[in-house]
Amino acid sequence: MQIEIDRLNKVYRGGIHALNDVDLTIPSGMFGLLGPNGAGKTTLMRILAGILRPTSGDLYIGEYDGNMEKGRMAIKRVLGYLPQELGVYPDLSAREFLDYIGILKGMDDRKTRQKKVGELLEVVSLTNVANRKLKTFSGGMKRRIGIAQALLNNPKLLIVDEPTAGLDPEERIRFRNLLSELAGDRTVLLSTHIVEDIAQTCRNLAIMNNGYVIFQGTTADLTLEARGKVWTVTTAGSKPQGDFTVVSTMHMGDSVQYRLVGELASPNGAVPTEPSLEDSYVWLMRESRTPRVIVAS
Amino acid sequence: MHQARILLGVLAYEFKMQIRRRSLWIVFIGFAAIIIRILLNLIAQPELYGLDNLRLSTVVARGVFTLNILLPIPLGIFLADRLPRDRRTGVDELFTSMPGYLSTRIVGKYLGSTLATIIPMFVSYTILIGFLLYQTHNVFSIPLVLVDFLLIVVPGLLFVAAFSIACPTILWVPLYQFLFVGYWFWGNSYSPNTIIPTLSRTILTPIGTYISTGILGIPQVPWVQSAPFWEGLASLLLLLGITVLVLYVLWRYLSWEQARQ
Repeated sequence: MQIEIDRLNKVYRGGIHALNDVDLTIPSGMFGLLGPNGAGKTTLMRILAGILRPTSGDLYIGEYDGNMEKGRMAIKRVLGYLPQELGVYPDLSAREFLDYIGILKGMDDRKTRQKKVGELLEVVSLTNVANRKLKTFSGGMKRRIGIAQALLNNPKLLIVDEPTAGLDPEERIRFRNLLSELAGDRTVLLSTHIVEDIAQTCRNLAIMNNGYVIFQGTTADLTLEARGKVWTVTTAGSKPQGDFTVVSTMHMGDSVQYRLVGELASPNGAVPTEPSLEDSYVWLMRESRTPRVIVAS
Repeated sequence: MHQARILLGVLAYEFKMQIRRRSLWIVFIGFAAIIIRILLNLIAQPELYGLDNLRLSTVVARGVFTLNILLPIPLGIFLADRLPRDRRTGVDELFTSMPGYLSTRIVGKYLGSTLATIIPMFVSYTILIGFLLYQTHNVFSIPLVLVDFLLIVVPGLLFVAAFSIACPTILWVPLYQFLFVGYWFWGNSYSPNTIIPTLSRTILTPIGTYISTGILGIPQVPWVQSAPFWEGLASLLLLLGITVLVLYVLWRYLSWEQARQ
């Protein structure tokens, strides 16, 4: 299910521009949406999920027009959505909550619904606490309930907004793997500000900043963007000065190794280094102070 | 068909969540205790209240009406947080991304939570039935209580419930609850023969004064000793009509709010 977004704008009350002429093509499979907090990712996700209306621009998900009420309703039928802050009824058990969501998603047949709820509780490893009230759940358990509710209707489009925020490393890995598995036969749109999550799961991605899409392409394309812009400098301890971003500082006993991203005029002992995805992201963020869109071929 | 099933599902879950509230039962049992105390007084001195000389239908209607003076107050209070809770917990965003219509969710929430709040209220009516059976030895008092409940009490409850679901969308819940209690006494029990204007002598009074006097022919308050049938019917239809109107306005308001985000 391909998503086509054309010159999409969203202006909130008070004249706040959350999205500025966003053009994006999201193919089937796993797609990452990366950007700092306030970049416009959540606004874009909420528009795709039919929660917000765009101020202008076109939006097609598969054959459905996201600007028409009929299209929005059709999109909602094939959509699984995990918001950044998952709202739950604290006094319902996990099983009841999922059953309720199933009803709201139009899963009419009770037996089929209950069977699906049982299966998904198994998938997210919550079967043993299925009858416990949600108010007793940890943040990670609630996230897992979130993904289970998103998958209830076997969606063709899965939108997950910052799904790994607040998860411990093990849970984060498990979650990422689960999303990758799900992307096999559907479109999974993963929004995050954690570069590692994208690096481990997505081949295609877009980067947003200040409401603009500043990059669209593959992770390999993104890495190429920062080639020749990443350096390693080892000093006795003093921090290198200049127009660059220090992305890591590592103490090596009697010296300190710095990893720098930027255009170094005089490298002065700096060793060029192969960029990682995170380096490239930092480079793009530096560059995006003046908006421009890079679409990798 | 889809929406009808979603409506039933929302109704069932809203019912379940509301009826599980411990505070709801505690408050209604508290009210039931007060009612038991009053009825015990009546049993001790039936002649004082003229129970011996009245027809069964009058005794039953008076009993039902008396309970209706207080019991809708907790109903209004306990329904007031149902809609703001969805915003507070954040479930409304999730629900909006689903194919169930907003109107379906509103009606399901209204019916489910109202029904669930009426159930513990019925504990008091069961006590009343017990009292009437003891006092009159007439089993017809059971269907009479039920009919009077449906006629005198339910239209007002539906009316109050609609406002209690809708108003907290724009009002802070505790403020609404405070204003509601004040309104209830001012608009129902406050004598109109005072300098402050009140709704208690109009067909808009949800306590059932005009329905009881007009339709059943049983006056309940000193200031409405008689009323034609059409006034009772008009009161009933007006209360139900306003209920539908309030829910419609709520739906339009929430749709508008959603669209302008």
